[in-house]
Amino acid sequence: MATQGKQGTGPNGGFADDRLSVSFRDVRDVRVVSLNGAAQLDQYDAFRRDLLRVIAPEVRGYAIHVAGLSFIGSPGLSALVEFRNAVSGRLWLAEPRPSIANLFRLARLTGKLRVCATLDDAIDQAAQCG
Amino acid sequence: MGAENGMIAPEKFGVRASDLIEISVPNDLRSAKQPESRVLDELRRCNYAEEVVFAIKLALEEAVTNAVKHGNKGDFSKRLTVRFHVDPHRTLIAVRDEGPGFAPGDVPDPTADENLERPSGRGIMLMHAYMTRVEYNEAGNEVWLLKENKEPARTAGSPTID
Repeated sequence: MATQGKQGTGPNGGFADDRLSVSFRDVRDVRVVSLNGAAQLDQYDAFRRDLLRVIAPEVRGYAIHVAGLSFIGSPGLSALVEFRNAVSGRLWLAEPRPSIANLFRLARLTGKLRVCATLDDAIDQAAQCG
Repeated sequence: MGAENGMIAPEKFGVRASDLIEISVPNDLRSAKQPESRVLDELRRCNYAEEVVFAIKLALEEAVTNAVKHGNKGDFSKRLTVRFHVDPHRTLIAVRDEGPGFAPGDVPDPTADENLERPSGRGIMLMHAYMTRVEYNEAGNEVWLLKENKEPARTAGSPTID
């Protein structure tokens, strides 16, 4: 899994073989983190590290763009919660697929991981962080 | 048909023991992808809908992760055994580790307000949420996951009975 300072690739179909990638770009003091692909069984430790690696002191807030995220399991949810805590809650998720949104709901994490319908909304929310 | 000597018979779920495919792998998550890949191949072959594949993949990964990390406690000398059967109407999977087992009832509710940020128990809760039935053997080192496929897909090439 690679962490890049570039915009990530777009959504991809299926979730069996495409490994999860983490990339980021900065928009108006907001770090937009794009998750694409499907988290694999042996990827979660690296995923957790990659998420924590994008944290930067100059960033106001974080928008996690999950439109391209096709699969994630409970270790990935735990990594997102850890990331949220590491950035003191300055985190919004944007554009989850229905299956991912349902997963957040089932895990009762929508109160911890706030979800926006669009990436622009998530960036706007994150930009208002102090 | 049911538990004998703490074991669970697959006939309990409508599957003959002889119809189960068994794959045993070393106790690590990379190796555990092998049986997962086989199950996913079978689901594709049977034209399962994407949301059903999502559910089964998630439950299987939670069971495997629990077995590797908690059951076998990351011990590379131990093994993980996955048995499965996939047909257009149901998928049955058993995941067994070589640990002493656990009591599922003792796991705290991960959806309780005080536990929301704790990872413990979330995987078990999700297995129950996504599968039709989840049962453990008496020792608690083998979990059986059943998913009934309510609406088997019909494609141009699949046989139909009128």
